[in-house]
Amino acid sequence: MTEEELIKALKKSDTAAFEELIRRYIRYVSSIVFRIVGGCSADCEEITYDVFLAAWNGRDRLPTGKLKGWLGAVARNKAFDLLRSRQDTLPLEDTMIELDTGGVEEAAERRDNAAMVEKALMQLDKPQRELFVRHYYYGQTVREAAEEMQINVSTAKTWLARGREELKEILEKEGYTF
Amino acid sequence: MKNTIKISRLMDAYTDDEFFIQGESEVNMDTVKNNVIEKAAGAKRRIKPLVKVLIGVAAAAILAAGGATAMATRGGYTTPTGISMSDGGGLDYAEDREHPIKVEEGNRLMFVADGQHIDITDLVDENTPYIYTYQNSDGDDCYTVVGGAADDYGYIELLPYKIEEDGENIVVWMEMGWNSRLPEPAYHDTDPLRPWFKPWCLAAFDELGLWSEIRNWGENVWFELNEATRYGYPAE
Repeated sequence: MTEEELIKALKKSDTAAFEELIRRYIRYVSSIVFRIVGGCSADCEEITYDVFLAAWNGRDRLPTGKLKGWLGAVARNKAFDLLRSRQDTLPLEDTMIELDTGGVEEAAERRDNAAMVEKALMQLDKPQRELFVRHYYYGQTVREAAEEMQINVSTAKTWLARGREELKEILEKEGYTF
Repeated sequence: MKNTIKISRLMDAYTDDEFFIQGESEVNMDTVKNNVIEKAAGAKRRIKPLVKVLIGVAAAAILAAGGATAMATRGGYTTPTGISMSDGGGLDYAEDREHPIKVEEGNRLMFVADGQHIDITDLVDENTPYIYTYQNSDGDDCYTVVGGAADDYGYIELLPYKIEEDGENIVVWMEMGWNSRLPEPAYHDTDPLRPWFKPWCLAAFDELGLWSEIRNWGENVWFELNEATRYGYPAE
């Protein structure tokens, strides 16, 4: 069953299609939650349930061609929500970047933001890309990521800065839409 | 035009097919499947089973009809009181509904709608809403949702407004929002202080099952709030 067929069946409230959705993406979703929450536990399972429940409740609006990304984004948000509820701040040293992307009229032409982000990350060497993903996608602290990757923290910070520059350059050039 | 965005938000568009997807999950598929299907089957929909549910912004054009929000000062607060549509329709927020929150000594948030006096200070925060359900004169459920802290709280009123579209009855959920840090609601779609962008507000939409297209009209572009990304993006 193609993704389009799967989504079409879900919109008809087909529970067999829903089981197929879970079968296809449970590993992906639970892996994201596991990495962010830090170990699998009752919380990890609960969040995984909630992601698929969100997919079921929102089955009328699932995006074709972006289903995996959608599930991943919901999983991340719910995992980060749990971390926020446990502590005052997230381990993520989130950074704002400023993009000059032209006026709203120019941005009205749709761009594939996912492709742009991926293109920017592919400019990085694999270890640098891994670090960027560990920190900005999975929310690992710079220190934790550096330890697991067996690099020192100052190297990690340099790599992240480079990653941010690459991202900014590509997104400005390609016209990231807000 | 310059825009700022958090990198972690940019990464919402990323899918990890490269690094950590293999072998780390210990979640049992059958357990998840059974649990989710049971929850999905038993989940109560708090809204009526109509064809479409749209959430309209009080000050935005809804279904091509322009609207304006009426405001009033009550108890020292400027609060929304109703929405008038340019097609003659509209919704009056009940005249006797006062501002639902009082901040009392010790920075305590008291929920005071409908004659109540409930200390909700410890029941709400940036991520957690307090949801109060009541019925309007038609017997329909309405919701007052409060979130935040004493020095930065907000609330939204979600009120069902029934219309007919394409021969079918649908409900438009009118949303009127207010935030304590603003003198009056700021209906600018990029205003980060708007209740919509607060996690407690989004958690309320999760709990009430009201995720749908939330339309906002700003700078001649419709924005929709996306459940996954939690931010407004130009509608397709």
